[in-house]
Amino acid sequence: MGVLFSPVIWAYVGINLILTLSLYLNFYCGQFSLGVAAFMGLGAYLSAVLTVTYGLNLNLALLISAAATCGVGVLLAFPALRLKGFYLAIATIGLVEIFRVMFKNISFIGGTAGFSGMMGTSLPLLYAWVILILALVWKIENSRLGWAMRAIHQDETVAEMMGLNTTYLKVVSFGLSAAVAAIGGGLYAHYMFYIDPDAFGIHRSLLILLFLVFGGQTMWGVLVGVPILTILPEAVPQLGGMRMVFYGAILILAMNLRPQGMVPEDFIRSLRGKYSHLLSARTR
Amino acid sequence: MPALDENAMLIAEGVSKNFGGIKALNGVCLRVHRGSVTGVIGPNGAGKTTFFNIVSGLFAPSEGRVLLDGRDITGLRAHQIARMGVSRTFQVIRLFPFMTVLENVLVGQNRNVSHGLFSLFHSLRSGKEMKLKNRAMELLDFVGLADRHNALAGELPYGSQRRLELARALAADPALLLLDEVTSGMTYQESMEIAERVRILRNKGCTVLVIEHDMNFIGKICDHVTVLNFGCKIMEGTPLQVQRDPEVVEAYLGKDYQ
Repeated sequence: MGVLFSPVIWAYVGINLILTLSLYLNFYCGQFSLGVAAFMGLGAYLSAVLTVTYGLNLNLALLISAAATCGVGVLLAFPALRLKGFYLAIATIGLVEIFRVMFKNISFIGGTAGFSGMMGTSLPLLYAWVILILALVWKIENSRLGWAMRAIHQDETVAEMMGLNTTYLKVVSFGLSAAVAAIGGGLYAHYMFYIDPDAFGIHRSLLILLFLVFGGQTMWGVLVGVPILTILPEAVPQLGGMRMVFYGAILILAMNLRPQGMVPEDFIRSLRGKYSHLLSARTR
Repeated sequence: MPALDENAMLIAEGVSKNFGGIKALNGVCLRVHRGSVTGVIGPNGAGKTTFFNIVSGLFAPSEGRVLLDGRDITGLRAHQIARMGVSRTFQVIRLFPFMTVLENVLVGQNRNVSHGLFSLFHSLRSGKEMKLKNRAMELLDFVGLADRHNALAGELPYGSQRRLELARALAADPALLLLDEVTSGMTYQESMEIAERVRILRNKGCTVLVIEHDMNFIGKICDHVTVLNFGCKIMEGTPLQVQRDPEVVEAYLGKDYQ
């Protein structure tokens, strides 16, 4: 259990939380996008260049790279969001691959050799960002924007006919998701001191998808699922090279025993119903 | 030039819709008077729902145009048309099943309500939101679902889901309400209750267009009926005139029926 006291593992947990929340923002609006690794990479490289080459303050660099990545996300959203379901997933896998190869071929950012020289961040700073992004997600869920996104998730055609501008709302979710992924990527770059293009391949998106589904596709599920799946493989160092076999077995077991994930929406609803008398006295 | 007619809420001018080689609608002209209840009837496949889908903007007509309150809405997107005051229910129930009954109605509100990015800065506990919530509860009361407001929409029994669809459509304070077989699958008692609701809405000034197979229901609430068959309008008139028309009887029952 010594792993629980290692700051590195908690840094991984924090970064994975941010990235999974990014994917969650897309899912929340019903968009099965796997582009998170591409936007993470863009944010990582942009912020790294801003701090190392231009000597910017880290937080400022993160904000600028998030804004720029959000812009790129919005531009890419218009062609991408004409696709639905699996077709969007496949198109965004293509997007991730395009970005990865692009990073490899820009010598300014080190190409295949990667990029280094970032100044280290700290765990408190990292978790301040985690809390900020959690607050954003919570606020979205508890606003009309969130209701509209859930409506689109459940029936896009009807949502449009109820007067919701579904194109605009999907672009908003894509842009926000890209910005959050960029912050996750920027923090990753500065915590790891070194990044290379292969860190932002499709395997990264799939890993994050795993976190989201394991958690139950809710905000609370992300908070429960990400720490478990991040820490678990590191908690059994005695397994050595067999650790990933253990990891895989855990996933197979989890999907069999609890396919809806650790904290699915109906579970949150039932808790809320059970304790609603403690929360408010509003009755009718 | 839009045809100026103070009394017309909705005018369809030669509306046609082709799906591949099939003419689902063929030059349909229709005029719906402000404050009236107009029925659209016809056998299955006559193009009734296609007509609703065109009016509500799900797809654009292949030919012709649609005027709402004198303004040309042909080719506008569905959410724009909805915000101009057109609300509808669906032939096959299409609620948001994993949202609560109350949330379904709240999402349907689109008059002076924004669901955009800036709604992030508006509290759901503000006075305006409380008013909207009260309004939604009134509508649930109107359809008799107020006590189920916290249930998931998908958990409601069939008849209640139909009534929730009506409440959701009303949440936008529509000028024109499109009801697509709203009583299908309901008992006689239930459909008469819906008829009563429609009458109340009409007295409040709402214009209603209904697709219905139940002639009893049509006779009770409609001022005017249009009959479609194979995508063409074959007849229009009062419910009584239409029921007695030999061509209409033929469309439904065949030539040999006397």
